[in-house]
Amino acid sequence: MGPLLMLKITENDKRVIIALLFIIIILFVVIGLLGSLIIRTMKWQGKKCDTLVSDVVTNHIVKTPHQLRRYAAKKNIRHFIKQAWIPIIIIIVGVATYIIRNAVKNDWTYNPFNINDGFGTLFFVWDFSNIISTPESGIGVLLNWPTLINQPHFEIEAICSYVAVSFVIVGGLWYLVVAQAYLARTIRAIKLSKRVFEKSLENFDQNTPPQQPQQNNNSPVQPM
Amino acid sequence: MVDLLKAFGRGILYVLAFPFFLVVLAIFAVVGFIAFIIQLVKSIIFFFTGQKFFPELPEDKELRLLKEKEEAKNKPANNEATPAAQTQQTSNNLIFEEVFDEQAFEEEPAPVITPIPTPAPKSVEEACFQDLNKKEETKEEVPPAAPIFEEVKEEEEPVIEELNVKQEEVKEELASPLTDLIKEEQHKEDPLDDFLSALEEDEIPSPQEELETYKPRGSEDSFQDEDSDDNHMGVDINYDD
Repeated sequence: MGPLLMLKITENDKRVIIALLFIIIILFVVIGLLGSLIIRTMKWQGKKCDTLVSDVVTNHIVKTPHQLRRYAAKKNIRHFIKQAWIPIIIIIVGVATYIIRNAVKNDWTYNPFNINDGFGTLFFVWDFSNIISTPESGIGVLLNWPTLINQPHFEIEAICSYVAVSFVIVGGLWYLVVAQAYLARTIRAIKLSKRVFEKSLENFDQNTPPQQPQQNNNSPVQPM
Repeated sequence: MVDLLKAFGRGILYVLAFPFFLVVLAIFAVVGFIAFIIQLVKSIIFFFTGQKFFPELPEDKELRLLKEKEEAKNKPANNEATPAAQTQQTSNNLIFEEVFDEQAFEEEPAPVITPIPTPAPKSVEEACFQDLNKKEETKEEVPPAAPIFEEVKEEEEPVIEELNVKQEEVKEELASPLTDLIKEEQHKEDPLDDFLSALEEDEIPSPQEELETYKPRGSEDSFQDEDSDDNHMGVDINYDD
């Protein structure tokens, strides 16, 4: 018998294992729901591609899948640039604030996330360094709860870091959403290029004669 | 329960696929940023050369030309159809927002005709006698379309009045030199003026002088020349029974 089977699992251990499994299942379910949400969002974002290329496709100016993909790529990148200039400007403002602050104080080692005069002053910060002791045996022992070393407070000196970090985070997330939309439109263009020019023989039978258009017997004009 | 398990399975797949998704997203973000920088440089060049920020793509140009051709084809047909439509649709609840002559008033905007959809007649009788029936109905009840006619009248009346006034002004302006010439010529040949000038020169006796010299028939002077042949006119009071 293997060493694992020789382990004796107590009732407490069983409960802990079941709780851990339950937590893992819930975690994966939440991740699955979030992924479905992202896919739905991307499908919604990809519909913009239809608007961008529909006129050219419906007027038969684009006649091959390759032409459609190339045209859609050009239109997509243009639409991306139109959407992306605002978040890029926000990011540039944040970075410029950080550079100007460092240039004025001549301090290029400044960490904008520090808890003394940085963005960290707005958050709770705990010290986890001394809670576990490692004696000679190598097994860590939990000694104490982590100590609170910072409570949220406002610092005038940290205002440049507030502006810089918040602008960069907001602009960065916005830019990521726009990039995701660009990706979604590209995927949609590839799908459209396959589907629009698709020719199907699913219901075609060469042996059956082509159907004549049926005459309406209730028409007022009857043939002589 | 099945949905929960499906979501759980998807969650495992998404956890595995998430790094790849992040890589692709990062590539697109970087490509987009590079395209943005290139477009920024291009836009600076376009600004100084007077071109558009995004030049027209060949497919878009082709589409524009195609649409222009279609519009050019449809335009003559519309121009022919509009006068007939105006005359016909007056009885079909058309609202003429403005009626004007373009040559006379070029500054004013083009007339906009907004047709109100009317239901198609169900029979020939209804199509022919619809207006008569409507008139009879309006005598008894106020039909639902009545406010539209009232609104049209309220909007049209001032326009027509203004147009009439403008037309009269134009007519007066055009006719004023002609009328002056006619008046001058009439003034030259006016017999009243000749008469007045002759009167001033005493060629014609004044009415008072005529009254003084006037003698009615049958007066004393006339009886003196009773036998003369010239006085055969007058009232003969000595008539025989």
